[in-house]
Formats: sequence, C-alpha cells, structure tokens
Amino acid sequence: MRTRRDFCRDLLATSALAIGGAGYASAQGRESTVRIAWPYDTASLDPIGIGAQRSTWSVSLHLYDRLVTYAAVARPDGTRQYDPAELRPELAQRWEISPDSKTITFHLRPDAKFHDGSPVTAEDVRWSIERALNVKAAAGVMAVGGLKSADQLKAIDANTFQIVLPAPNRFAVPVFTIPFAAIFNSKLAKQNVTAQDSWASEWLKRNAAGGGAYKLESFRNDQVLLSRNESWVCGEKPAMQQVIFQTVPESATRGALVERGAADIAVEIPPNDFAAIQDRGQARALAIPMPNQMDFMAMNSQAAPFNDVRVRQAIAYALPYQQIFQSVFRGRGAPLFGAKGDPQPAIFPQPSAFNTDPDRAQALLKEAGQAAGFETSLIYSIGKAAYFDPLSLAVRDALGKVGIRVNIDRLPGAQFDERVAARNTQLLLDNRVAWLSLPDYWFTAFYTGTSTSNLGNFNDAKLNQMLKDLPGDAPSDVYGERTREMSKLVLTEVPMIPLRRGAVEFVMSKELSGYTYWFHGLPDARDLKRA
Amino acid sequence: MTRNFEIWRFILRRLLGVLPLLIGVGIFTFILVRVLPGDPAAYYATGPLATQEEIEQVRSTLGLDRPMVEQLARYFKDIAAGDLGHSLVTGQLVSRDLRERFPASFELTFVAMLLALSFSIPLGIVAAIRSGSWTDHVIRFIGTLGVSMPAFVAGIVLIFIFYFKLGLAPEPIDRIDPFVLKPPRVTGLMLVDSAMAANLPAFLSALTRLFLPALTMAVIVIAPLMRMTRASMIAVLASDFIRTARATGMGWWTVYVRYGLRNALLPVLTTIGFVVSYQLGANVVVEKVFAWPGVGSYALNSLLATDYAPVQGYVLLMACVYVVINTSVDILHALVDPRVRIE
Repeated sequence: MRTRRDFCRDLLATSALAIGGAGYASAQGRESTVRIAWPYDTASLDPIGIGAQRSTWSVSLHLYDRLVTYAAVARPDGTRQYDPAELRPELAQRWEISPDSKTITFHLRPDAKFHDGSPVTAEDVRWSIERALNVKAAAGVMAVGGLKSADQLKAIDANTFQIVLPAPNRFAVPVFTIPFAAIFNSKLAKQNVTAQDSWASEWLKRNAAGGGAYKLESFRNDQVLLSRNESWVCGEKPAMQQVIFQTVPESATRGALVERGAADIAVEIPPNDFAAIQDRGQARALAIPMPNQMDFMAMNSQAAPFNDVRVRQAIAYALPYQQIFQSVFRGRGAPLFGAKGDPQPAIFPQPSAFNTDPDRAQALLKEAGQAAGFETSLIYSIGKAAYFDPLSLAVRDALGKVGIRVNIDRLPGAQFDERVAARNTQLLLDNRVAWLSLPDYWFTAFYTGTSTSNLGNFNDAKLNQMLKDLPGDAPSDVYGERTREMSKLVLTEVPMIPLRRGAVEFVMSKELSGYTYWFHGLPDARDLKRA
Repeated sequence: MTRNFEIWRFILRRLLGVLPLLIGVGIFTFILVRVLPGDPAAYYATGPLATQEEIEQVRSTLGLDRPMVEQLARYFKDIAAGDLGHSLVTGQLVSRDLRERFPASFELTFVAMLLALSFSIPLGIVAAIRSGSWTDHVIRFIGTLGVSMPAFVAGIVLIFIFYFKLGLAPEPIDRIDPFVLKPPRVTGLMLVDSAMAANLPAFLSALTRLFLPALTMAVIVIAPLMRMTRASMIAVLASDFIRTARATGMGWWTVYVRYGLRNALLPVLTTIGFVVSYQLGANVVVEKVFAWPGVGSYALNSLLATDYAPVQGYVLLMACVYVVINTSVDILHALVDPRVRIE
C-alpha cells in the first residue's frame, strides 16, 4: 500500500537526484527492510562479557552462527515456535555421538565463510568455545553442558571439531544453540588482542567478527543496522535484506510506529498499550506463551521467618492466584497453580498444588508461631514494573489479610541486582527465561547453588542429592520419574511460588509473517518475510 | 583596540576562574555516583548463573575493587590527558561518546530557542503595547498553558496529534530517516552537515524530525521569555524617550523595536541565558520521548546502569556549557547596551 508519505519520500528522492546529481549510494528500501523497535540500548555486540544483555544477544544471533539450532513448529496464530526436542544443523552440518555418549564430533559445513571471506575452521570453533569458557558469565552455562576446560575441545582437522565429556550429558549438544556459543572469526579477533585483553573483548564490543546471516552495517547504541550476508550457507537465506534495531524508549511510541508502518515489530508493549492496539486493529498484537519462562514470587528460604516451610506454604495459600492471573496478567500465558494430583514428569515450570485458601494460611502461620503475623519487604525491579506494580499491590493486600504487613520497594535494576547478589532479600518478584529449558536445568539453576538465579536462596540436601544421582544419559522413563519427584519437592517446599508461565507480548505489522518464538524470547529477523 | 583587549582579558579571566569549579564538580560527582546505591558489578554480571565469584571478576575487570582514592587519582590523571575515562558498558571513551552526541542536543536546543524566541518576543511586545487588553490576557493564558504542561505530556500529545492522527510529522524517533543517505559528519549538526553536502533529502528529513521535539521544548520556555519581554517592555514604553519618540511621529518600528526593544532587551538576554542552560540539561525528558540521540538521554541511561564515567563526563560538560553561556550573555550585555561596561 502506498501512503502519502511514501509518495513524498519518492518525490524528495527524485528531486535530490536532480539537484545533487550522482553520489548518493542507494540505501536499501523500506520494503526489504525489517525494523525492530525496542526499549533497550545495545551497549555491546559481544554476546559474552560485560555489557551484554538482551539486545546484544538478539543482535549477535544475526551476526554470528552457532553450531546447532532448533527446529520450529507452526502455531495456530500463524507464528512459529522452537521445538526443544529437535535439534537442527546450523554451522555444523551433522554431528556424531560416541557409543559411550562422552565424545561428540561436529562436522562443519566445508563451504561456510566468515564475513571477511575466510573459511570457518574447526580452530575458529575451538577458540570461540575456549573463549566462552574463560569468561565467567558464559562459563557457568557452558558447564551445564559438561564443558569446563579447554582440554575438552579439539580441532581434529579443518572441518571437524570434537568435545570430550567426563560423563554423558543431555545438554552437551543443546548448549551449542545458546548465544554464548557464538562462533567468532578467531584470526580476525586475534589481530585485536591486547596485553590486558587476551580475548579481544574490548574490540568485539564495537566490532563484529562473525559469519552469520547478517553483516554489521553500522552501530550506535541506539541504532544497529545489519545487511544480509549473501554468501550465507548455514540456513535458508533470509528474506529481508536489511535489519534495523531501533531504540525507542517510549512504549506508546513503539506501538504507534508499527501501527503507522514505520516499524515492523515492537517489543515490550505494556498491557494497556497492548489492549489499545488490539482494539484499533491496525497492527497485530500477539502474545505467544513461553514454555520456558516463569513469573514467580521468591522467598529467602534461609532467613527468618521464611526458613520455616510452614510460613512459605502459608504465603502460598494466601495469594489470590486467579485474580492475579486474570487482572494482572490479563489471562495471558498459562496458570501455574491449582494442580490436581502429583506433578507431571519431565516438565518444568509446571503448576503447584496451591490454591487461594486464607484459612489454611492462617492455620499454618499459627503452627509456625507467627499467628500475630510479621512485617516484611517485597522488592522488584523498575524495569518490570508494568506487571509487578499491580502484582505487588495484589500480594500486599492478600498477605495483609493474614496478618503479614508488606512494604513494597521498587528498585532500579542495579540496586535490585545488588540486593539479589547480597542475598539479603525477603520477598521478591521476578521472572526468568531458561535457555536450556529442561527440568533438571531449572532445578540446578533456580533451586541450588549460590548463583543469582537461586532467588529463593534454596539449599536442600535432598534435592542436591537427587540432582547428583540423576545420570546424564538417563532413559526417558527414569528421567521422567526423577524429575517428577524433584518437581514435587520444589513445589511443596516453595522457595519460589510459581504464578504463571508468561507470554511474550509484541506488536507486529500485518504484512509480516514467519515470526518464530525462540528460547531467548527475542526477535530473529532471519525468519521474517514480508507478504 | 583597548575595548577588544578588555573583552579578551575578561574572557580569559572567566575561563581561568572556571578551573577550580570544574575540579570541585569533578570530585563531587565522582563521590556522589559512588555513594548512590546500586552495585555495577552485580548489574553487569549478566550470566544467567552469575555467582559471587563472577561478580568479583567483573568488579576487578572494571577496576572497582581498588580504593576510591586510587580511582579518583586515576580519573584526574585521565582528565588531565584530555580523556574523561571509559564507559563501563561500551568500553568507549566518554569524551568520544559526548562529542558524538552533544551536537544532537545542541542542535535541538538551538532550534527550540529560535522557535521560542520567534514566538515569545513578538508576543511579548504585542502584550506590552496592548497591556491590560483581552489580547494581552489571551497571550498570557496561552503562555501559562505551555509552561504548566510537563515536557513529556506535551511531547506525547504532539506525537499523538501530528504523527499518529494526522500523519503530518515523520516518525518521532532519531534525527534522520534511516533510509536517507546520511551526510558525512563534519560539525555533527545534521542540518549544517546536510546543507554542506547539498543533500536535500537529508536536510528535509532532519528538519522535519527536529520540528516536534523542538516545538515541545519551545512550548515550555515561551512563557517565561514572553513574560520577561512584556514586563521589560512595559517599563521601557512608559519612559520619557519613548513618549518623545511617539510625539515626534516616528514609525512603530522605530518606536517599539529600535528604541523600545533594544532598551528592554537586557533582562530578556539574562533570561535567555538561564533558559538555554536549563534546556541543555533538562531536555533529558524530550530526548527520551523522541528517542533523540543526545547527551541527556545518554547521561540518564548511564546513571540507571550505574555507569560512572559517562555521568561524571556529562556533569563536567554541562558545567563548561553553563560557564560558556553565562560568559557570552555578559558579553552580549555589553554589546547590546553600551551603558553596561565590563567590570
């Protein structure tokens, strides 16, 4: 559809040619460009390291390839969703797992090239993964896949890369799908190594050394411009020639841009704007349920009074789940409460058995010697205020009814993180997405250890033992049974009260198709097409 | 000759007087940003499985594990070398970031001021001439309306009307259409650069994108400028020389503008000085609403991300800008009114 603005632009472009003559390189047209409006600044292009955050990871998926990816399946609303059960080749053409499941050999595509034209070799892969192992932020997740030291990595020949694991590990291949496992052009990166910076981290913040589907055209913190890599062989050639990631802090503007056709996708749309856009019907307001995400309230299970499981359960009985799901979360996503019977095998997050039952809550508090109630604080990050503002009020009212006085503290991101790292929180609201969303990953990351993901500060000898005893190559019936037990444990002990599995909410132009929900929840322009 | 010399000596002394001020501001902001709650190391440890160990690694990478005195000493050493330190997040030199972004803020403020002045001075004069009449009241009412509207409300209302409803304005983000070829960067001022490159599409794109944010900023300051013009004009119009000028039958231009306005301009200039320096700092909100890549939004983002060096750099830059503006206002005073002598 041609609008008046298009006409004006064409007119201007023509007059410019007439006035200015030659000398204007032709910029790619709007038609073949996908423009994504988001609130984030892109501080760095390096998926591993300081400054990396959601925007970085999203951009890095376009600039860099990983060895493997997932298949995608169609959803009823015309979008697609990744399928964690089916791995697909990306940079690796195929891979073999040895009979003892301890050696995995990846065969790279022989014709894959980096943006500078040099071939992608197994040595590049080895260097990239070794780099990930040397940066703590990435090393923690790589360790989930059984990779801890560079000795485990081997470039057998130019196109064969091998890893050796101490024990079978079900994450060993999936870990190569995550943004941390990006493959860098090691020759190029090594040219920019300095004495203090042996992994070229400073240089890679501002420069790309990849071979992904898109090349870096220009980079500002508030605008990243990518253009299609015409010689990309690691997947179906993307339809869009150019991608623009544009920072737009104001959420109302983000939505309006898509409605007016100036942008194609706007993310982080708060519920009110989402509803208004849905009503106007000029653009599609989509909510794709995320299988690998959870909204929850965590309680510090090692600090009084929450170290008493009865207090935690009392709070879990006091929350108005249905009201929260309907009016705070607008019924989007999937409820995580009121389950009947035993937990399901091999799935997490899944509903707890808790329901709203204030009498039961009061009885439990009495049992725990807290009949008079107590005063506590509830914190959350300002960045997530769109949902957590109303949620925190609902929690305060509900807990007030059973005698627990809640002081709400809404903190800037850096302060929230500081409190979480210091482990001196009481109640907190948060949500998390798991890149490797298998139940035992959730239990390891969110219910054990001292990482910032263990928000309930949970440390349970029984769970730790169960995780330790779970073989890395457990057959599916054993895996199902064991993870069911673990689910039962964490859903009864409730260091974190699950509220819902969320939905990724965004606005998309009607012309666009092919949007795929990936495990990282971020837009991937490689899949997008314009009708 | 002597007059020129005096002015230069004055400027030089002013600038030298600034040095202790800047050092004070530097130390103050250095301590302030570190005293504020929020731990950058915890914030930047973005691994999903961040442990205390990772946080400490980040802290030492950022150099935040050293004693504060040592950090301060290093900071001033950097400044002496003309370097405002590195941003924690981007690893970029702060001076580079500021140099890249300041022209955007400057251009916006400059155009906003032009817009504000082209409304407020004529309106102020008319209101003074017709003081007490309904014209006066209407003008003052409109001015008050503008000043009582917060910038983000004004901005969003303007976007809603001109972009979303009428479709007259281009999309309210950034300085230039990404599909238009950008002019090569010379001054960093988009209008000037595109004019120099004779790049008409870029010029028009930049101009139309400037309009809404500039208008938003102008709306807020029209009232104080207009009121100052009006008050000052009323006093001047009541004086003897205006009465004489009127009596001798001089034209309105001579009476009101040449004699009236010039004499009334002194307090207006002072107000302009205030307003400009205020706007350069306070356009954070407008920059946020219009996704304008200026220094204000840069400083705010950095503050929220506990990225120390950019915040310090911004405060120092603003301190310098204030000094430059105040000095220029003083000089302009002397030029506008010969009775004002420097010293």
